[in-house]
Amino acid sequence: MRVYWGAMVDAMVNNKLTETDQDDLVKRAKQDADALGALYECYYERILRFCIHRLFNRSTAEDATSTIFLNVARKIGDFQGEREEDFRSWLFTIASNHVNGHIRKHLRRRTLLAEAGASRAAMDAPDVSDAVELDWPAVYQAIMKLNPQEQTIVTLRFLEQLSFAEIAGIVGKQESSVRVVLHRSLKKLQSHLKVSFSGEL
Amino acid sequence: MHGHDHDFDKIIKRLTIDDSPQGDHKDKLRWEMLRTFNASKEGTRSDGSARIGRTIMQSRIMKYAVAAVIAIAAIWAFNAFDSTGSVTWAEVVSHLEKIETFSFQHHLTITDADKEVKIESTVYASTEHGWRLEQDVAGKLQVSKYISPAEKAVIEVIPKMKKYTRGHLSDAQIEEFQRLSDPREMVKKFMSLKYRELGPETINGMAVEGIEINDPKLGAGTFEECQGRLWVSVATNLPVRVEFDGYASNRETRTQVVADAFTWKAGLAAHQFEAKIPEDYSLLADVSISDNDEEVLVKGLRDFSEVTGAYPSQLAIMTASKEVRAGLIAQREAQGVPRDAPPTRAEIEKGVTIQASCLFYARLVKEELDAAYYGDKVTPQDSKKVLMRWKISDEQYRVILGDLSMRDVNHEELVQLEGQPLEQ
Repeated sequence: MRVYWGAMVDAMVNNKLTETDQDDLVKRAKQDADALGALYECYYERILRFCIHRLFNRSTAEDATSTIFLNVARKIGDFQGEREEDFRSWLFTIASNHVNGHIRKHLRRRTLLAEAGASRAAMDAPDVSDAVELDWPAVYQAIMKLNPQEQTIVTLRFLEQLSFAEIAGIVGKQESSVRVVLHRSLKKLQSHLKVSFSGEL
Repeated sequence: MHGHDHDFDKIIKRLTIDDSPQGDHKDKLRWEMLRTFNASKEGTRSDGSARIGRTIMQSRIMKYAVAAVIAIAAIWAFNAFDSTGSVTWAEVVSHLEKIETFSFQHHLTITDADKEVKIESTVYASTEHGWRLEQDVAGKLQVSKYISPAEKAVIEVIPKMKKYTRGHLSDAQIEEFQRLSDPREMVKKFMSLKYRELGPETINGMAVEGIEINDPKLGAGTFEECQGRLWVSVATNLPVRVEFDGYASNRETRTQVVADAFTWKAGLAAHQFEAKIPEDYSLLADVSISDNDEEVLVKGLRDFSEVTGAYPSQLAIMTASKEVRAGLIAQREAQGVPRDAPPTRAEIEKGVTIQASCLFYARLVKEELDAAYYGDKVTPQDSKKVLMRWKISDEQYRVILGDLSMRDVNHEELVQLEGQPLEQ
C-alpha cells in the first residue's frame, strides 16, 4: 500500500488515548508489560516510518526499529520521565542516535546515495509553486548530503512533524539553535534540489 | 512556519513512499520486546538487591511492598524446615490468575508406533479477546487459528490452500477449547495433584525450581500414564516451562508437550486477535455447531462411525482427529479421490463435530461427573452396551449405548448395563 505524505500527520499516533491516559501509561510502563505494550502500539508505526525515512530501506529500517524498541525494553526501568512527551522525546533520542550510528558505522554514504539516486527523477523545475515533480529518492539524496544532525532535524521537523521544542529535547540543543540549523539545512537542500523556495530564501 | 519551511513541507507532502507496516514484523517485535522487558526486570530483581534497597523506602506503597517481601522471605525460611514448599507454589496459581494477556511457544510431538509428528506453535492469549495460534510443521506456517469469544467462532486461516474456515461454537465449547489450550489450567492441575519437588535448576540463565507429577489424572482420563513437570522462576513465581509426557494404547502412542518462552503480562491488544484473512483467500467452510452438547456428542460419534465403522478409541481431540483422518483417507482412496485434495465442506463439518464431542467429554471429566467412555471396546453393532456415561445428579447417570440411543438410569441399572459382557 502506498501512503501519501499528506496523510502522515493523521496517522502519526493512531490511538484515542487522552494526554492523562498517556502520562499514566508512561509511569506504569517502567514496571508493567501491559502498559509498555500499549505505548509500543502508539509508537511502533512512527518509529518505523522515521527509520524508513532515514535509512530508505525497509528491511534495514525494520531491523533498526527492532533494536530501538529492544533498547527501550532494557532501559525503561531507568527512564526518569513521567509524561508522554518525555517518553516521546526519549524514544526519538534513542531512535536518532541509533540511526545516525547505523549510518556512520554500517552503511557507506556512497551506497546510500547510489541507492537513492537509482530512481532519481528529473528535478530541475524552477519553483516549487509550479508543482515541482520531485520524487522521494531525489529528496532523500538531498537530505543525505546534510550532516547527521541536520538530517535528524529535517526528518523530525518535516516527516515527523515535531515541534521545535521537542526536536531541541531530542538533539540536546536550544530551540533557537534548532531553528538556525534547520534554516541552514533548508538552504543546503534548496541548493541540492536546484529549486528555489519562496519567502525568506 | 516560515516561507521556506512551508515550501519544503509542500514538497514533502507531494511525495509518496511506502512506509506502512508490512507483514508480521510488528507482532513479532512486540513479543520480543516484552520478553526482553520481562527478562530485564527479572535480572534487576535477582542481582540488583543493593539498588532496590536504596529506592525501596521512597513511598508508602513501596514500604508495604517491603513488608510483603519480608513476609514471603519468612515463609521461605519456614518452608526450608518442613520442605513442603506449598505456600510458594500456591503463589504460582494466584499470580497466574491476575494475568490477562500472555504468549508462549508450544511444542507438540506425537509418536505413534514408528511415526513422529512435530507441531510448533506460537500462542497469544487474552482473557478478554481470545486466542491466536500460529502453527508450524517443519518450519512452515500451516495454519493460523483464532478463537474469538466475542464472535463465538474459531477461524482457521490456511496459507497453503489460500482458504479459511469458520466454526461457530457455543459459549461452553469456546470455554472448553480455551481451557484445553491454556497452560494456566495445566499449572492449576499440577498444583491440585500430589507432586514431588525437583529442587533448583537454571533454564536460559534463569533461576527456577521444579515439581514433578506422575498421575494419570493429569491427562484428563485420556492417557494411561502421565508425567508432568513445572518449572517456575524463583524471581517472579511465574512458570518458565511446563512439560507433559503421556502414553496411551499400551504405550503405542506417546504425546509430549512442552510450553516455554512465556511472556506473562504480554500487553496484547484487541487487534492482535482479529483474524487476518488476505483478500485472495476464499471461504472453505462455515460450520455451525449446535448449542446442545449432547446432540453434538451423538452426531460426532455417528459421523465418526460412518467414516470408520467404529467409534473413536478415545474421546481426545488428537486421537479422534487422527483416527477420523485415517478413515477419510480410506474413503477417498475407495472413491478414487486424491488423498491430498482439499477437504470438502462435509469432511470439515465431520471433523469439527467430532472435536466438539471431545471437548464436551473433556468438560465432563473436568467437572468430575464420573464420566467414562468405552469406544475402544464398544462398536456400533453393540447396540445394548454402554458406550459412554456420566452423572447427571446424585442418583442418576445419562448413558449412551452402542446404537447411540440415550437413556437415564440409576446406579444399580448402570451396574447391570456395564456388567454385560462386551461380546454377545
